[in-house]
Amino acid sequence: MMAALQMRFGLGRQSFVGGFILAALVILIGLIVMAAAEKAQIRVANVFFVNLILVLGLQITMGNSNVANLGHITFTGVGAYVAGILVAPLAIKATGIPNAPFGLNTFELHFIPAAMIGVVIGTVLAFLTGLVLTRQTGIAYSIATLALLVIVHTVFTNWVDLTRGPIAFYGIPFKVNTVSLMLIAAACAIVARLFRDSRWGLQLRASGEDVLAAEASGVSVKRLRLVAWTLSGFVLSLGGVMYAYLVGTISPKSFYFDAVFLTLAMLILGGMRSASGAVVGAVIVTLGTELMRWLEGAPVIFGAKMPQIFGLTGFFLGVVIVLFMALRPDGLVGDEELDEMAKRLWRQRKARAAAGEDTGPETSS
Amino acid sequence: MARLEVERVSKHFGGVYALRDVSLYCESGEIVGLIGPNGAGKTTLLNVISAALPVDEGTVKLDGQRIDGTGPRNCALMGIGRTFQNIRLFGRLSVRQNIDVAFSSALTHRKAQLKGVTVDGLLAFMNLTASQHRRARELPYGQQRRLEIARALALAPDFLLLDEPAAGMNEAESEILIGSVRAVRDQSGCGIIVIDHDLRFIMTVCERINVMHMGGMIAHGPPEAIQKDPRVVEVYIGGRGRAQSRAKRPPAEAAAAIP
Repeated sequence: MMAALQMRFGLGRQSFVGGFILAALVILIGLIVMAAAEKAQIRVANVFFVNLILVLGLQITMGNSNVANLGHITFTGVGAYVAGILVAPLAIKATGIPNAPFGLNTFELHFIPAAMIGVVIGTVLAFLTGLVLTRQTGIAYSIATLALLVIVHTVFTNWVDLTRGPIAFYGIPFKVNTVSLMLIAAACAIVARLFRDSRWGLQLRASGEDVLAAEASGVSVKRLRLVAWTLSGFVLSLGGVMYAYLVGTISPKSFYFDAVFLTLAMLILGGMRSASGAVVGAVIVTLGTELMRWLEGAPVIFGAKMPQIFGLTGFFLGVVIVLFMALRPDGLVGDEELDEMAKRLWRQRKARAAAGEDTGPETSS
Repeated sequence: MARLEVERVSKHFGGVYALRDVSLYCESGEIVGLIGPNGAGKTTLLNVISAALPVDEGTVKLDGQRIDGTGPRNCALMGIGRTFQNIRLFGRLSVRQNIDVAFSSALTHRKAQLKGVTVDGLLAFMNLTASQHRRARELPYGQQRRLEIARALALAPDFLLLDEPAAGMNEAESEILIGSVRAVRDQSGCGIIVIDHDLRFIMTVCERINVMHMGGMIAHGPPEAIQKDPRVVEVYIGGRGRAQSRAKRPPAEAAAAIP
C-alpha cells in the first residue's frame, strides 16, 4: 500500500510518520491542558485549537505557493455564519433574524449537517473565488485576497436580515469541547503535512521558488494554486464552524483584520513552509498574547504595580510580524518539518562520527 | 526521429529587434551549437523555442506541429527540456526533489516517453547520488549546473536546450561536461541545442554550429567550416583587416582569446 501511495501521490513513509507525530503533539497539548489547567486556561486552549486550524489552513496555500494571502479568514466567516444560522434554535431566530431570507428562520438543523453545509459552502466559495484569484500573480494576488476579505465583510455587515449585521449573532448552541477541537486540529495538521509532501505540494513549493523554472518543468502553477486555495478554504471554513460552535456568538468583526493578523503572525513566527511551523507558531503566539493580556491588566510584578497598557497584544503581534519578516523570514522552524530536521541532524551526526573514526587512528599515532 | 524547426522567426522588444528572420533546425541525436557575441539574441531564441516568449513573426515547429506561444509548461510537456543561463533551481528543495518535480509531470503527461528514466538513474547519471539529500542552493556551482540538466532530462525530452552550461567552469569541469552532453545524446537519443561562449567547448561537442550576430543568423555549418568562415571571424575579431593579420593563427583559438 505504501508503494501505491508513493506512486500515486508521491507520499512516502516519512510523510505519514511525520504527520502522525505532529498530530500526537497537538493531542498531547490538549491532554496536558485538560489534566492540569483551570477553567480560564481551558478556554484559552480551546481558542488556541481553533486558531491552529486556521493557521494550518493558511499554511496550505501561503506556505506552499509562497505568495502572501490576506483574505483567508473570509472562508472562516462564511463557515461560521452558514453553520451558525442553520443550527440556531427557532426561538433565537424569531427574535434575532425574523426576516431571514430563504425561509432560514422556519427550520433548525442538527449541528452535524449544519457543519457539513457550512464547510461545503465555504469550500465551494473558495473554489469559485480561486478561479479568479489564481489568474493573478505576485502582489496583485495578495491585494485581490484582501479585496475578497473586505467584500465578504461588507456583506456580513450589511445583509442585516441574514446576519443581524454588525450586531453579534448569538444563540448558537455550544457543540464542541477541548477533545473534539484537538482531534480536528490534529487531523488538519496531518492534512497540511500530507498536502505539502504530496506531488502537488512539492510542485507548488517548486513554483514558490521559481515560477518559470517550475513551468519549464511541466508544472501547472495556476491549477496547483487553485487546488491549494480550495483545500485551504475547506480547512478554514471548518475552523469557522468550530469557532461558531465554541463561542456561540459571532459578529462580522470576528472575521476581519484582527483574525487575519493573528493567524498571519502565528504562521510567520513558526515558519510558513511547514505544518510543524504552523503548530509551533500557534503555540508560541498564543502564549505570548496571553502574557501580553496579563501585562495589559496592570499586574503587580515583584511588588511593583505596573501601569495599564491598552493595545499591548496588537503591538506584540505587529512586532512579531515585522521582526520575523526582517530577521528570520523562514520563521523558527525554517523550511523543514521537525522530523525532517531531526533526520538531517542525525544523518550529519552519523557522517561526522564516521569521519571521526576514520581520522581517529591517524591522530593518535 | 523528431525534428525541431525554427522558421524565419522575428522578435522585437519595442523598436529593438532581438531576432530578425532567424531559422534553425535540430533533429534527434544531433548536438547543435549556437554561438555569437553578447546581445546577439541567442538566449532570446532559446526562450522563443521553449515558448517562454511568443514570436512576432515566423513559427517554431516540433514534428510539424506549431509550439510557439503555447507557454513554457506546454512546451515542456511536448518534449522540450531546458536549462537557464543564470541557474534556476528550486533552491530550498533537495537535489532529489528538484528532479522529482519534473519527473512527476512526466509521469502524468509523458509516460510513454519515460521508458527507462528514473530519478535514481538520473542522479547516478549526473553523478549527484551522494548529494541527493542536500538542498539545491547549497551545492557547488558545477553540481548545480549538472542538477539543472538532470531536472530537464527528467521530462524525457525529445530536445534539450542548454543555455551556457559551461559558463564559469574551469577546463577540467568543462571537459567532464563535454562527456556528459555526449552521454546524454548517446543514451537518450535526444537532440541538443547548446549555447556557449566557450568556443573550445562548442567546437568539440557540436556537430553543427549556428552563428548569430545582432539578432540575425550569419553562418551555419560544421565546426571546421565555421572556424574558417570570414563572417564569423569578422564578428569575433571585429574588422576584416585585423582578422587577416591574424590569419596564421587558427581562427578558433584567436576567437577563444577574446573574452
